[in-house]
Amino acid sequence: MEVSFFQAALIGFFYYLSWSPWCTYVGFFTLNRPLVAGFITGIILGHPMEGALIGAGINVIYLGFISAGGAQMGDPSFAGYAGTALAIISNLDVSTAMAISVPLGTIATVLWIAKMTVNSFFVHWADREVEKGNINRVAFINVVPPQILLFVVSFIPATLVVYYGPSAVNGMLSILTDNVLHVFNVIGAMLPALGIAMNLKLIGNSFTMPFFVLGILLAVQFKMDIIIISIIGVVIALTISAMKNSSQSGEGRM
Amino acid sequence: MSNQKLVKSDVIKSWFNWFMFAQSNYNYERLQATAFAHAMLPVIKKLYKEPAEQKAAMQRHLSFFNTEPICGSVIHGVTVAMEEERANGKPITDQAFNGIKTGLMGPLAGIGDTLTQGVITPIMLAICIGITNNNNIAGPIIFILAQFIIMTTISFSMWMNGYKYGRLAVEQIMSGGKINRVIEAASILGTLVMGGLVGRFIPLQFAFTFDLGAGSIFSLQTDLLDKLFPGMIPLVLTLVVLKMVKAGVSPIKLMGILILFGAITGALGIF
Repeated sequence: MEVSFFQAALIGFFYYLSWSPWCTYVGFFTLNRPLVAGFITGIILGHPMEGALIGAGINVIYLGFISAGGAQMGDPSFAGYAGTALAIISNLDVSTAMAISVPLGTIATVLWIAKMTVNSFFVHWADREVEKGNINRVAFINVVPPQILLFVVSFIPATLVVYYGPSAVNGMLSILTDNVLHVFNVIGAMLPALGIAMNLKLIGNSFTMPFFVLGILLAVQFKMDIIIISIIGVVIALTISAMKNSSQSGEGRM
Repeated sequence: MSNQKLVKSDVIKSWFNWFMFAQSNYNYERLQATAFAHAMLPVIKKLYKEPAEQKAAMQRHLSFFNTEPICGSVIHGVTVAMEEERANGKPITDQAFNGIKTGLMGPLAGIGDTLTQGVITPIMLAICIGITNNNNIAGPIIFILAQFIIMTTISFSMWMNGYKYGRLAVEQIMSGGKINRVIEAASILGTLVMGGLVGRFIPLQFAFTFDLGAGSIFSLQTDLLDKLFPGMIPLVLTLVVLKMVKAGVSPIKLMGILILFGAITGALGIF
């Protein structure tokens, strides 16, 4: 399909919104995630279900990514918006979309670094205004200059990539054979291991890891839906924490 | 010094400033410093009438600050309560404010990042990605609604508890072990659901087949692995990547390694 400049700009605008404060800090936990990014991009391009499916695939890669202390490993949001847009416009399948979105998300990290660096100047501006006694200016400085900066470094690159990217992708696809597409599928099937492993680094330990094996078994052998698996998970988690609790309070009484 | 009291709407206004703009001016030098001062602005204007006092109060809250914005809200609640006490004559020094803020922001960032980014969001995502993958458009919509309800509730109640109970609230969170029990139970659910995602999203199968002669073909995947443990390859792959993550290989580097490994094995026809 063709993308209009207006559609590309709208996707670029939502990418800006996903890093902005305008949907409260929960924007970071919603609009910023590739699942939602894919869904929104899909709506803008007229294919909401495809968009959500592509976003869901991309999101697994970034599942365990944590942004802490100013460090940012890749930009899941950029991968979500730009990756889904290129995939829908160029008619790519989900695993090929996953394979091309990762380099996009990695390159976009420079936008984050640029923002974090330039924002430092605004802190000094706030210092000077408070020194002069203009305490109300802190609200302005905390919001307006950094948001103008963020808009410039996010809206423009995302819009350009979505608008001009498809011709590059199409050029690439025209030289691709079935064998190369198979390679993309294998890459797309491997990348989710990273997102899941990053999350397991945080929550996996010798006590919880057996449940990981059980989860694979339930999905692959018994073909269970994630919903059913998570209900089983809630039951197990409640049982175990109740058992631990009662044994602890039992010791306390003795 | 007269009796300076905050009303509930002052505290809510202060919370909302933070809830909106916590990361608005995030920067390498002092991270969330301007956002902290921005959040304190309604409180300071209400408590202090003298311009010199207002200025001093804003200056002490423009110092380096960084925590997890949702759970870290409890620190702001405590700070608001302390400012109120100070305005009513209790001698609280700038160092005391700084000590509380810098002392609490690290531990709460640790707990907060684990809870919001490590447990709640991945579990909600895993479930909603699963719903989406059944061609159900409700997946992303449920995710958005659930995240807004969960995160707003935690942030608001953290802030209000901090304001009401002061440092006691923090001690309860840290030492009572309640939050650790929640994280532990959620980790069990999380690892199980991660396993479910592995099964669904890493559909790697060995492509090897051996011609045994006399028309019979032996496939490594269907004739051996599927009979032992069908999810063996995704399991081993994830565990190897986990080992590398734990060894300190950066995620960006691991992405490159996985793309390269996928390209080679895919081209050779192993998968």
